Amino acid sequence: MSVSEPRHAINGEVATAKVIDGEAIVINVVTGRYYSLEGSGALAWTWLAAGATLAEAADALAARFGIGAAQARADLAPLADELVADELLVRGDAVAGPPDPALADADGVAAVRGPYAAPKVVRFTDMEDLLAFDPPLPPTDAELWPAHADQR
Amino acid sequence: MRSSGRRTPTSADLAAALLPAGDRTELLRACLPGARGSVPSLAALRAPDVRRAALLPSLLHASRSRGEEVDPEVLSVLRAARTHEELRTAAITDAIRETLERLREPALVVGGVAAAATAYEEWPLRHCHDLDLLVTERPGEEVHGSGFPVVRHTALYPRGGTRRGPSGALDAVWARAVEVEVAGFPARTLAPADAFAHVLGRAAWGVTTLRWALDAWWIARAPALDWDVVARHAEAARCAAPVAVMARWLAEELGAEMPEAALGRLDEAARESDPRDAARVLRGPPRPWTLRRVAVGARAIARGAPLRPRPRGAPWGRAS
Repeated sequence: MSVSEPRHAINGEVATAKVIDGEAIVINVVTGRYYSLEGSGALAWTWLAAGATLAEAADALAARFGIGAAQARADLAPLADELVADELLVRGDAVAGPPDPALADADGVAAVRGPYAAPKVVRFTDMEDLLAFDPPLPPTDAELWPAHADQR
Repeated sequence: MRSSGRRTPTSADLAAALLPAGDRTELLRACLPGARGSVPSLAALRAPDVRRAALLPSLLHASRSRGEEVDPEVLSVLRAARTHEELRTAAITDAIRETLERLREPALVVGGVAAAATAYEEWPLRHCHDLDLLVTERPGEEVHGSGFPVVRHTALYPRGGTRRGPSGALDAVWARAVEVEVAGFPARTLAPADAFAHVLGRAAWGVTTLRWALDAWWIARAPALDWDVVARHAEAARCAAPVAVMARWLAEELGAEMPEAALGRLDEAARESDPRDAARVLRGPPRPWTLRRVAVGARAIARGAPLRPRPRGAPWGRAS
């Protein structure tokens, strides 16, 4: 089933993310907004951002938290839709995958533990002033930052 | 608060004028690994001077080092700031490396980039908004193609277009410069003793943010830091008395790694310094750069950029 499902990936044109101590921090570098996903949400983000289908991400959640894959999938689907709607994830057949299973033990992700709660994303829209958004903003695509030494 | 009085300033005068207030000292302590302290509220982190100092990644780093329980909402903000700073680091290191690669003249990397690359435990702990270079000619501001500012200085301290400002004994500073790696590229920077004195000297002249205390704390950890050089640099920069006061505060309040003998040497330099130097420091940096600040603001308006305080940069002197 997962073969025919679309895959997800981080929208590298606007979003960047890191999982720290079990919390996924996603920053929209265009708007300056940031998003937090904790616990199962951090694990879900990790898999979806890395190219997982909904089924593959649900399997990862089920394995980590000891829940049924059907429940995981049911909880994941609205989250994935939200993240796509907010342009943090892209979804499509051309997206590469599946994710490397070693992701589950990556720095920050291994800290995702505890009782299961349905994954959710928390949006922060009033923190831009705290985040020192000096120029240059971080590159979301290497091509956006060519060497222009001659223009100095 | 700086004074314009004529009497000889005491250590207490200097401390009152130059050192952070009690709540800011607490905040700075909370930014240091291993130090006692606790992460403040979001409201406190929104204070303009705190925001300008970009302390959040350091707060996260330090709170983790002491296993502190942090309010979840604040923790998310700290993690976001850390993530953001890591991204900035990745972006600006490319700009810095390219700039250094293209240099065809003697130059020392100084300021925030030098501190981030050589003193701090990790680069993202130190926010850098430009690359400061000490050069021998053509001072001014340039911009890398990425938008990252490159500021060329021919002096370490504000001179304001006059000969009254400190020289910082530049020949000796250049001679003591050390080889380091900055953004993966071989470069030269100030010897740790000069860097320490420079951070305190600039703070004394009022041309920096709260971050000076963290910079100095990290630089003080350099192995075999030559405290006699610190004293001589401060003397040459005509800020021996302020540096002695600030160094003692760093050691006593923030636990900076400074032997008592070092503090004694700095006190000795302070006692032997010209009291008029301390008075000048209390009056603030030389002023002729005011017009330049207006020009910078006008340029920012012209290109539609938001105006933001730039506590550093402009006051650094041009060769006179």
